[in-house]
Amino acid sequence: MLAREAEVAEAPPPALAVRALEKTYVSRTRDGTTVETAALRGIDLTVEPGEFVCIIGASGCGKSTLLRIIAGFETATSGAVDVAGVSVAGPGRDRGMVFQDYALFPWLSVAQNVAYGPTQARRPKAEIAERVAHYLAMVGLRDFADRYPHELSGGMKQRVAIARVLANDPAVILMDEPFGALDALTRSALQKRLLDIWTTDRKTILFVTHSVEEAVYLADRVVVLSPHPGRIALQMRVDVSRPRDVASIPFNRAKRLLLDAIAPDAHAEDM
Amino acid sequence: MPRLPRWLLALPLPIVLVGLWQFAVARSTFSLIPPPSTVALTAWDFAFGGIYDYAYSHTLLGHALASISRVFSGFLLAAIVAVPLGIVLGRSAVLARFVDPTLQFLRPVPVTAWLPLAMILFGVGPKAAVALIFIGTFFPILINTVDGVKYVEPRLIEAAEMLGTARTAILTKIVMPAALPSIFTGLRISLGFAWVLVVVGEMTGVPQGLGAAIMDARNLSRTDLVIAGMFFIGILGFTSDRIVVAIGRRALWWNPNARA
Repeated sequence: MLAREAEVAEAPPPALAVRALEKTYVSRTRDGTTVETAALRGIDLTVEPGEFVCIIGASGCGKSTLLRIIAGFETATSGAVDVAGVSVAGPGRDRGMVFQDYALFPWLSVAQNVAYGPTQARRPKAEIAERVAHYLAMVGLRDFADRYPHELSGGMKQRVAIARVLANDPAVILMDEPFGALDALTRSALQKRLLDIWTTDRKTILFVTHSVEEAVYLADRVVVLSPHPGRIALQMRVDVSRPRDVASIPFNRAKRLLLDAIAPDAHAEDM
Repeated sequence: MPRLPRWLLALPLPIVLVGLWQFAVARSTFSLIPPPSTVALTAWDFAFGGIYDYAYSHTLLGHALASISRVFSGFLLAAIVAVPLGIVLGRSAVLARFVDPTLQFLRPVPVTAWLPLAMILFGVGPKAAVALIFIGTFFPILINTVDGVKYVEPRLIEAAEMLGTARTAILTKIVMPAALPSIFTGLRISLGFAWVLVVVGEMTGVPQGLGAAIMDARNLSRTDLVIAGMFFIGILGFTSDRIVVAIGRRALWWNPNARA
């Protein structure tokens, strides 16, 4: 740890650094007293450029809250979030978010959704068109450019949402249980596709999930959050070579390792 | 098998209703309500003349134009004020706190109760009718606009923010298109209501207008002309609704719920 801190001065800053982050919700009860609920406590997390990190934890462990604070949609009670060495406050184009419920703009076509970010940034028209074509091809939706969100399946919508974020070229991509609402087949197809995209683009990805298998399949490193209050229980590097085969022995050994590391009562919470 | 056009399905009900009307009137020896055939002749004469040759022959166009201009003046005026106001109130909780109680206090007052005041303020004439339509159509447009703006999916705003939308552009880029279906609902309800109100407004003694014609016909005991006037108001109300729906469908074709 000390050795790493010494390096920091020369090495490029991490893609994402969360330092001493705390989140406390204050709610007022009926008799007028205030109750404080600790949602996140002492979160320190560093993600290197190009790294794929999964955050895993039971429902209510604060993993979505953490992601939403990093995105700037919620404010931390204390602590800081740096993206590429710059402190951030509020949402910004350097952190692209993929939501579980897609959040596509229904009045824009698929191509217009993907073009939205670069258009807001006033990029030249030709460049926007090129980016849209590139990323639509990357998610396999080139033939659907002129369709509208309501005409697409859930899996296709999420591919549009991923292309929309990629086209905006963020420093970090935040994904909040993006495949959670999809059926198992679509989900595994999208996991593969996401890895393909990540392999070619080498974007930094912070991915929240409650599925151990998904985390082990996708991540370079898995961060486990424990609930009440949410804190980082452990971090584990996934040393399984890619492409990973979910039926292989090394994959299942890694999965077993992670499951053993997570406290059994954390499982019970997930039910 | 060739598919029948959908509008054919709309025809049996009115035909049955007219049939029942004819049947009921023909059964009674003396009826205050004329049979459909009489009304049809009167309606034809009202529109094109050549049958009765009296004060109302061939005068439909003038009456209809007078009513149409009042309906749309009141309606458009209300839309011009209520839509922007609704957008502002939907976005600003502070401003809503200032204005909302007053609006909610005024809203339950029936529009017809405004009639005496409208006549004092605007005199007996078309202005009072327009004012009445304005008051009546204002609230449905306002309330639907406020709701549409207030209940924009927060996710969409977050998505726009993380994609780099300037704070000031959120309103035009996200809030307004997202609220458009609700705004259109308000406009559609209001326009239908405007046709109700124009008749009330024209009963205050304006010389022209379908409402005025109905009122005069009543005083002359020309029930056939009353019904003919009702028929033409129905036609105009129906047509204007179709126009709003068509415009709405063009603007909202991305919305699967808007394909009514």
